[in-house]
Amino acid sequence: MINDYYLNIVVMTFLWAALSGCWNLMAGYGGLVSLGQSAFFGIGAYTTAVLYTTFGLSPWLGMLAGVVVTTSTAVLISWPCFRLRGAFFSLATMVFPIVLEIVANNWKDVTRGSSGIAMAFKPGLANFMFDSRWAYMAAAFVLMMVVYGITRWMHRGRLGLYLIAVRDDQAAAESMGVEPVKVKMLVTVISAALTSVGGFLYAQYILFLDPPSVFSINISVQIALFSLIGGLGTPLGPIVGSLIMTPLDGVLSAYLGGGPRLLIYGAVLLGVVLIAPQGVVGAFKARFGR
Amino acid sequence: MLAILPQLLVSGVLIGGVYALLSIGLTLIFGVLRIVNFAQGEFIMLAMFGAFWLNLLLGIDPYLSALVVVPAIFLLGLAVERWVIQRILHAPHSMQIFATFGVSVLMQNLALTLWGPDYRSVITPYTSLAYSVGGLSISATSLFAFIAAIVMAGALIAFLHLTRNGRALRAMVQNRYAASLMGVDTRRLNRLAFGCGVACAAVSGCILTPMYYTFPTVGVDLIITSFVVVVLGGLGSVAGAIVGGLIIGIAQTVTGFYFSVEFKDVVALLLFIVILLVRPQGLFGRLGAEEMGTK
Repeated sequence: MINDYYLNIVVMTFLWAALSGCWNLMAGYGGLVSLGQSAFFGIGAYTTAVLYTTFGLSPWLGMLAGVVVTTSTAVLISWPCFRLRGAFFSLATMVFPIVLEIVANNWKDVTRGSSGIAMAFKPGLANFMFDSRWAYMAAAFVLMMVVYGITRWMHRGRLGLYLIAVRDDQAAAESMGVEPVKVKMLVTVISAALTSVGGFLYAQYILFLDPPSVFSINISVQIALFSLIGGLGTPLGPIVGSLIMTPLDGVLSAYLGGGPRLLIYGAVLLGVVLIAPQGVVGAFKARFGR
Repeated sequence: MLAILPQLLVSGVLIGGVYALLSIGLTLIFGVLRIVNFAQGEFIMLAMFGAFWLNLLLGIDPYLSALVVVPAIFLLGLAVERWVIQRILHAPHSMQIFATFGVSVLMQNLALTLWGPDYRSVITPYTSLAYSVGGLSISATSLFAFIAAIVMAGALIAFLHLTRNGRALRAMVQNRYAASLMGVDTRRLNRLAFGCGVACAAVSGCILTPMYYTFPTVGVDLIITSFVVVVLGGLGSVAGAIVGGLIIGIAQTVTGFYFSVEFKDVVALLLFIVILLVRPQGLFGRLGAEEMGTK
């Protein structure tokens, strides 16, 4: 059992690194500081879970359906949000998970409301459910590496440059021929699709969903926090952040209750922002060069 | 169904007053410092706990406790401004957001650690008092909150227009840089604006204590509505906060009755999205307010 406990922390470390990496794509490169990532996460998780439990659809197809639903939602909701800058954008994005949580709580025919959805455990690759946590660990690792790979590709590539240009000065970027809405939309869609896959993985791993566990604002904050700690706008940042924070969180929640644990979270968040806004990776780079 | 509409409108206006009260401080802080204070709800929460404990331990009336609580929160605001806000004034947006968010998480969980998650309430002789005017029922606590909102907004507008500090603050709202060139001590006024902004939050906390539950995450519930109100009214505009509050209050009460209570919160949030689409600067705000004076 002790083995399972540690494996669980490893699975979660990889999963959070992947989710945080998706947020980093938007916030770190595009300056799109979303506080609504849990909307993408929750839609991905709920779509697969609902399709599996009510229609018996294979989770593999459910994952694809989740990606389709999430990216369409992302296009719909980000279109008005892109008109906003800075803190206003963040405020607007914060609204969507709240609305979705209310919807999930009340649309009882589909989501079963606040009692949540329990998925029947039928292990097998066809159902994407496994007896061993090693399998989940591998899946989460793959997702994390995909996100890392895309971030690296963006970091060096054209899209990343366009995004950074738009982030730093939208008017100047526009005058150079960059289409801000297009590049922002592209990165949001990529981020939403991968976050949705993260939600799918979470649903298949935990096998139980209820509205607060996936749509809560705390999830959006945690996703952002890991990237901030690791280093905003660096490919390695989210992974480093999660490597530090997820095990720490496991220890903290084993010994402390919710209040003191989140108290430490708040202090860490504030400390990073005030003392090392460039994060661990950023500080490391500044000190030892590239 | 229609016969009850006047009652709904009256209740909506009164609730709207409460929302306006919650939002005035937020809009003041944004107007001057160009920072969205995500921790505003937690200042309200701390004020509510202050009023609650003063009532429980010393038997002081929650309204009266404002005399102690508001100065205390004002001082706390000065400390937060000194240690946090001042240091992030010129930082990127993301850092500003997460700094105030960090303060919010910190305060919320400090309260949770110290006082536990229980819902507490203060019972006063006027808690369930209601006046009956021409067949309409008016709850005393909501009426007091409404009056407090109007008085506070009036006092704030008078302060901004009639005093020297107020004029300097308005100059900073228009152009921080030019104001500093004209000899305005922007650092002192930043501190003043932040202190006054959270003091407004403290007033609303004390007013809210007799009519609402006091618990560590109460600020989160309140601040969401508050954000909707200020975005609707125009961030930075005190008059906008009042009008925005009334619109949201009425919209919620009416839809809550004619549709469903769950739909009530969704309607405010939908309104929020529509406003962002149609008029992102809000009813009374100026276009590009979010970038004004920061560069």
